Amino acid sequence: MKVIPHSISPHFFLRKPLAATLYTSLHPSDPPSTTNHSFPQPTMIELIKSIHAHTDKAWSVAPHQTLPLLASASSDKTSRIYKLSESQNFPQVATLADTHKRSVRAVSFKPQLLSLESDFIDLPALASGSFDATISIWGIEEPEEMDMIEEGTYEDEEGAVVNKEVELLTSPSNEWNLMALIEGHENEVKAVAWNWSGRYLASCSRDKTVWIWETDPETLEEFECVSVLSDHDQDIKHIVFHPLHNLLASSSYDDTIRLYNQDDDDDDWSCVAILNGHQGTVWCSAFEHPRAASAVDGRTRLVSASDDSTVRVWSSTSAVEVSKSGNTLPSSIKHGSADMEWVLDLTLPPVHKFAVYSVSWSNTSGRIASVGADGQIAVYKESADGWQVESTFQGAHGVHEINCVAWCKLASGEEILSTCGDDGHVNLWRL
Amino acid sequence: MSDPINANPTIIDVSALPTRLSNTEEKSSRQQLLDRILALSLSSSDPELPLLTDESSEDEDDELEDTIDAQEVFDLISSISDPEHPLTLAQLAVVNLPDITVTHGNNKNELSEILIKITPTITHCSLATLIGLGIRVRLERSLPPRFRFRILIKEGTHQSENQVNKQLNDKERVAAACENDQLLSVVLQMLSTCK
Amino acid sequence: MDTAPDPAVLVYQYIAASTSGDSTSDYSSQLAQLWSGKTLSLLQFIQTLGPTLTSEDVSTRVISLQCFANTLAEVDSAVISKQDVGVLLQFLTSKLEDEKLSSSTLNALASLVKAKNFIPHVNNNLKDLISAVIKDYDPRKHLAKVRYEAFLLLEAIVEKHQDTLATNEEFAECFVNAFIHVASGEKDPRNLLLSFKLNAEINTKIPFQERSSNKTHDELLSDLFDVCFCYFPISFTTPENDPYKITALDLKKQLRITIASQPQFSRDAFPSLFEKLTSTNPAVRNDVLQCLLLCVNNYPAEVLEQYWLSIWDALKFEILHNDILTFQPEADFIIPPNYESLEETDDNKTLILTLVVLNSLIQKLTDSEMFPSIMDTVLQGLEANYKSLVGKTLKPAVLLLSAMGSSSVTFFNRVVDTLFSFEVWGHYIRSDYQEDTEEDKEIDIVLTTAKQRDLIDNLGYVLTAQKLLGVPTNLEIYKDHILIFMGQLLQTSSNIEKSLKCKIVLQLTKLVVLDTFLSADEVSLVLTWFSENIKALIEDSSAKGEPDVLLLRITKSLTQITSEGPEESIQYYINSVITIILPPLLERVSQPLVLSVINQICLNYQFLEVLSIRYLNKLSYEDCDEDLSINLIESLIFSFKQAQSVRPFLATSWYSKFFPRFFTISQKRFADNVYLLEISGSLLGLIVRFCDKTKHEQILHDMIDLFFEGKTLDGFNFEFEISKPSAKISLLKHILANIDRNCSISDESVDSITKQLINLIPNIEDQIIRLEYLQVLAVVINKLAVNREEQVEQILSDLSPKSQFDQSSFELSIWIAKGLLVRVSPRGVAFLNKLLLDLSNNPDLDYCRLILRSFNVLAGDVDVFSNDGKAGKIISGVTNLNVKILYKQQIFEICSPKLISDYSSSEKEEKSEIFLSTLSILIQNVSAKVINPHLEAILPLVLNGLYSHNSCILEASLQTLDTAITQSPELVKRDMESLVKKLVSLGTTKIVINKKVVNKENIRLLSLDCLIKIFTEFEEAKVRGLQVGLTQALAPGLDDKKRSVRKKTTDLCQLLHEMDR
Repeated sequence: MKVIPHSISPHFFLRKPLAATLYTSLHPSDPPSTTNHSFPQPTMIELIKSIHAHTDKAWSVAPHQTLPLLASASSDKTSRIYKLSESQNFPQVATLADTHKRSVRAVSFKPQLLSLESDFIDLPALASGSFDATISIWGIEEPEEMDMIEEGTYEDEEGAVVNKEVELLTSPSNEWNLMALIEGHENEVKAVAWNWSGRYLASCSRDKTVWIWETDPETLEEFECVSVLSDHDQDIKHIVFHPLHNLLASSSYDDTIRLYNQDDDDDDWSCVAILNGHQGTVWCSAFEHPRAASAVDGRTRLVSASDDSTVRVWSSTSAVEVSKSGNTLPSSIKHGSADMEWVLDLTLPPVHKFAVYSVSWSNTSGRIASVGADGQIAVYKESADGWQVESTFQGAHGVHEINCVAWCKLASGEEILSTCGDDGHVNLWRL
Repeated sequence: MSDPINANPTIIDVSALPTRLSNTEEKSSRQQLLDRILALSLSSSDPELPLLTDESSEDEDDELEDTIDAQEVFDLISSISDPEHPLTLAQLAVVNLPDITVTHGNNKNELSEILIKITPTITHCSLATLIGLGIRVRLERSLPPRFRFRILIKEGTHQSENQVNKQLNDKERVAAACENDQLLSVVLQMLSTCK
Repeated sequence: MDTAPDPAVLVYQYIAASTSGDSTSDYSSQLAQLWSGKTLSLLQFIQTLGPTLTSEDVSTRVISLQCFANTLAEVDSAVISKQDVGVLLQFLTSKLEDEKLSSSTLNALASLVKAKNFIPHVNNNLKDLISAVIKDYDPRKHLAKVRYEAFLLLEAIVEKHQDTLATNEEFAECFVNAFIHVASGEKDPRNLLLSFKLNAEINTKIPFQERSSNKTHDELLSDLFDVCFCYFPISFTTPENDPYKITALDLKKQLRITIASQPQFSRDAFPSLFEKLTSTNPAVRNDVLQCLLLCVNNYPAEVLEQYWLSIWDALKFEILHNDILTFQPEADFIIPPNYESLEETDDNKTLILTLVVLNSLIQKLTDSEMFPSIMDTVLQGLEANYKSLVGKTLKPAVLLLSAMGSSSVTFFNRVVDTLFSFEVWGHYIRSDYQEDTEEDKEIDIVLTTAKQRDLIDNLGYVLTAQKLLGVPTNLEIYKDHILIFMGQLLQTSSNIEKSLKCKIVLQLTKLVVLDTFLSADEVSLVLTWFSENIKALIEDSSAKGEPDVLLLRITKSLTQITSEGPEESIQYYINSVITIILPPLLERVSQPLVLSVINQICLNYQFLEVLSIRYLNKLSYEDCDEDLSINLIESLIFSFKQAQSVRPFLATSWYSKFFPRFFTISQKRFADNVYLLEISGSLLGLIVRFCDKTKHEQILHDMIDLFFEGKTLDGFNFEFEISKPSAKISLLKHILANIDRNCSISDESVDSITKQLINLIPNIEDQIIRLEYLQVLAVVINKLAVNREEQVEQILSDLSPKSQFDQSSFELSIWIAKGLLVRVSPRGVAFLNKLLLDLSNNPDLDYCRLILRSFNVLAGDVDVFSNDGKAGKIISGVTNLNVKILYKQQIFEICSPKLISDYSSSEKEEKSEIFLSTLSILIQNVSAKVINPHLEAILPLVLNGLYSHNSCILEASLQTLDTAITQSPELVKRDMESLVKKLVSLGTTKIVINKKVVNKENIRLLSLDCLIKIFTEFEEAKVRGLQVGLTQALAPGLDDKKRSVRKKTTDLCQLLHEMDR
């Protein structure tokens, strides 16, 4: 393991402005202002590449936050990692197999760690949750050439280095090893998600609980369960963290979405809101990125997809920090006091015929994409006069159901859509 | 005369069930005899014989489509056996032809839907879910992927209708169930009688 | 005399041979001869042996005495004088002290004992011998072999001197002592077997005094008992390569016999046996019971009178407290026949044996004056059990009583009187019973269906006992009550009480077949009840269509009644069935089930004859519609065959009575109904076949007259013109097919008939009718034209294709050829070869295809050339078929090599497709046995046929492959992987060539069929994991346009899924 000059303390991460600036510096390619004209109307959805990734249902796809990597999960008990490079024709980087005894349901890359130490290199890591009730953590050793770059090309113009780094970190020659196998849930794990800092990993299961695991984001050595949230009274289908806050949304078979916030005093997690409205299982939800084109300061938004075939947008203006306002009551009775106000903004124009299994909210263009049992991709765009359907694509996986959609970026920086379906394919789309 | 294991479900005699299977198999003895005689004919009209006027062989589009209909679906699931009685779902009137609806897309690239309403033998039948699961597995194995199934408990025939319905139509739950060995072996047991 | 060998030499030769392990027998026998011939005296002999007998060297001593013993065994004992005996006895007994010599000594003694001059009391021979044995022979010191000699000695004594033993008490006693001395502590199976035998011998030969009165005898008996019973129950497993082949059963049996051989053992035997009976091991219990059985059979009644109670008490619980399902109230026996063959470890055997023992006990005691008191005790002892209808022990109690009753009329009468008394079953069963007091009513009310069932079962046991006794008993007194009771129950109880009613029917049936028990009227009464029920059942079960258990039960009973028992009563029953059961059935013939009932009960000629007449009448009515006519005729055909199979009969008389009437009716009423005429024909054919052979000439001529000469026959009212095609020809077809093959008609008429047919047939449009005529033609050629070969050949060549090809004359020639081929006429073969030649050389494809199709006829099965049912001689002596069994094989042998070579050499695809298809037709028509030797050659074409893009080749190949998979799997298995792949693609993905589907529905189906066969029949397929991923590969088949294909795909997938588990 790599020794780091001075360890990164939690409160360091909590300094938001810094985090923000760092963020922009990481994405010089698309300053928020440029988003609007980058999408000529009307957009057509066109298939870039269809990868026959799995021999059975593909359940989930997830991109890495910064590296051009895409991971998939499938009933064939494996996960695969592909490099999102059109020029290299999307090579497979790794197959993660022989670990889970049953379907792998969900995958999630650890977010990019942020460091002022220029010589600090964060290695990509992946968490996957399986029906066998376990969660596996995967990662790579640091490629030898790494040091050389650092020393040799220190003075160099940064971009070059970064790209070289990217090349090395995403190369198929890296060995992806199992770093940890986390047990705890009674039965099928349905989703896994990292918080923005990589310090917390959340998992949810049919056992009606959400578990929060704490770990050292760099070494990923210990995973200690710091909290078990059992507010839902049914199977929990999906969880997602807010991109910048320790705010967690869980979607459930009980037709509701619950939001949890971490109190900074006692680090405990408490349910701060329940979103009622869907008339069927809520399959998935996604936060709007505060830096997305659609974002407005002081407003947090969440989009949700449901078995009732609707996609709904919810919003809250209560500052996420409310829970921090010197409130020292034990979390048990804190409920209500620290609650966030959430309202249903609207239901997006109906497109889907059957259950909607997945939504993704672009953290740059601010567009929403949804997919479901009817095999359609729908992309929605918000404009002055509300949300419209920008484009749809029928039979995106032939006659098969589509289980997951995710916005991601090609190595070139271009924003594309990735989907996966019951046919075991991972499809990549250009808009 | 009463026997404890089954709460006397009304049992339909197999011969009384609507099916397409038997009809095709069973030829009347008279037909058989006439066929036997005709088989000896040298003239080309007999379909059994190869090399009839091969020129008139149907081209791609001529091959008429027998569209998948309710009867066909019924025949697929009617012979599944009940997990607790030594009888088939059709005999127990758990599945009934009129309760099956098939809605086709315009072509084979569009989705088609099948709606099946099942009638549990008793309103508190704990096995309703299992039965539904059996039906779902049978259909998923036997019908092309363009079909979407909805399996519902017939209105007012079960105490916890909604829970059962929700579970039966949750693809994730079904997928997980099919990875559960105990459950799967029971289901396979049920399917082993499929005709 | 001077040539006589020197004894001394012989002795030394003997010793030499013995030491070198060679055969010694001829030396000893030569010695014996000398001795017998008095050339050698005993004294000389002993002197010659002298030194060796006393030699220091043990082995020499042993051999020497052995030599003596062997010689003694062979010598004519006449030469041994009384004195000699004395001398020898002394000499030998003295040798007993020398243990090394015991074997020979004992052997020699045995020979001595048998000697003519060995007289027991003369100077105490026997006593001295025995006491010497007791004194100087110690069994514990010796090996089994030696001990065996001792037993042989004793056996010799018993055999030779049993009179002495029987008469002379003193001798007897000391002999028994000797036996006990010898037998004690024996372990070797062979010796034990002999020991038991001797023990039994002693018990039978020696008259022991009443133990109580004679102390010595008392002790001796106890010793005798101990020396055998101490081994009981004996168990032993025969060791590998045991020279004596003694089995455990031998020992068990002999031991039992021994124990049972001495009545005075009873004192110890019974208690000890009862004690062993408590064992939990069924094998032991069965052993005990079989031993008990022997004792009961062998011991005199007086002894049993002493012990019967203890036996009864010991045994009754076996029955009372066990599950007695094995005893069927329906059966007509209580002790199952051949129960002995049951496993020794079978618990049921224990129950059965228990009853057997009690049976013989009762038998033994019936005549004893204490029998009445015995019956009292038994019945009183069981009263609690049989009196309450609720107790679990009711059935067992009745079973016990019936079983015992079945072996003694006295006992049975007593049982019957008790059971049918008002206190017991009387107030349920007897109609002469008046309810007087209240609580009786209550009892009456509590007679629920369940109890009714039990009651009937219990009645069943009693009836069985009556049947077993087979003599008049008191049951007669209650006969009416029983009848009425069961009758009412049968009529009144609700129809859902199937099991109850079935039980009643069974018991009533039993009553009926109870010879001479029921009067004629009573039998009729029972049958009427049956008839009532049948009617009712037919009415209601005709609704739901499936036959009802009770209905089946009753029909079965009827068949039983009309087929079991003495001839005269059967005759009577049949008549009553005909008069009582049949009429109501005939009124309902239109009901679906009726005919099946009739079919089942029609088992004999008499019934059949009545049936045929009644049916005939029905058929002649105008209102008898098509379906009914069909059903009636089919029922008649079935019944006819059935009656034949039960007891063959000649139908000759039918030809004059039934035949013409039916013939007339069918040709009148069924005008042109092909099917009706077909089955009518087959009925007529059937009758003809069972008419006496001698009648056939006439039948044949009659038919020729009717059909071809336009003549009229009395009885036959028939309109037919050979010049006008008519479906009526079917009648002739069947009749001709069943005519004896040795019948003949004049050559002229043969020629004219063939001519007429040949001229007529081409003008018949209607396919079926034409084919019927063609078959007639074929039969004529086959049977009647046997001596007209040249003419037939001429006809064939006239018919052969003209320049302008003509299908109908081709068809004619094919059928004529068929007639010839089935009897393997050389001309037929010639025709076949010519056909093959055309097939390979003729460029006209249509013609070739026609030839190809013609093989369906040539190699196919045609009704007129095959009898359904088993072959072999039949009562009428008729052999109707003129068919060589091997004709198909011959055809195949001729064709297949030619076709194979043609196929492999042909360039034109159309041609090769024809060859392959022809081959597949042949293959489908001949038996596996015939094909197998050729499959090796055929299969390659088949396999590459699968890659053809020609529908017909594909179909032919697949059909052949299908046969090959079952017939010679080994060949197919060779490259299964590629085969499976190919079949999957043929089954699921359409091959389309210029907008035409090549693998049509039936081809796709065939491919899937082959796959299913492969996976069901070849374990390897699974072993090689060929099923892996196959379901995905088959998925397209699930969306096939054709339902049949989808279905088969589903089935295959289901199969594969099950394999995965």
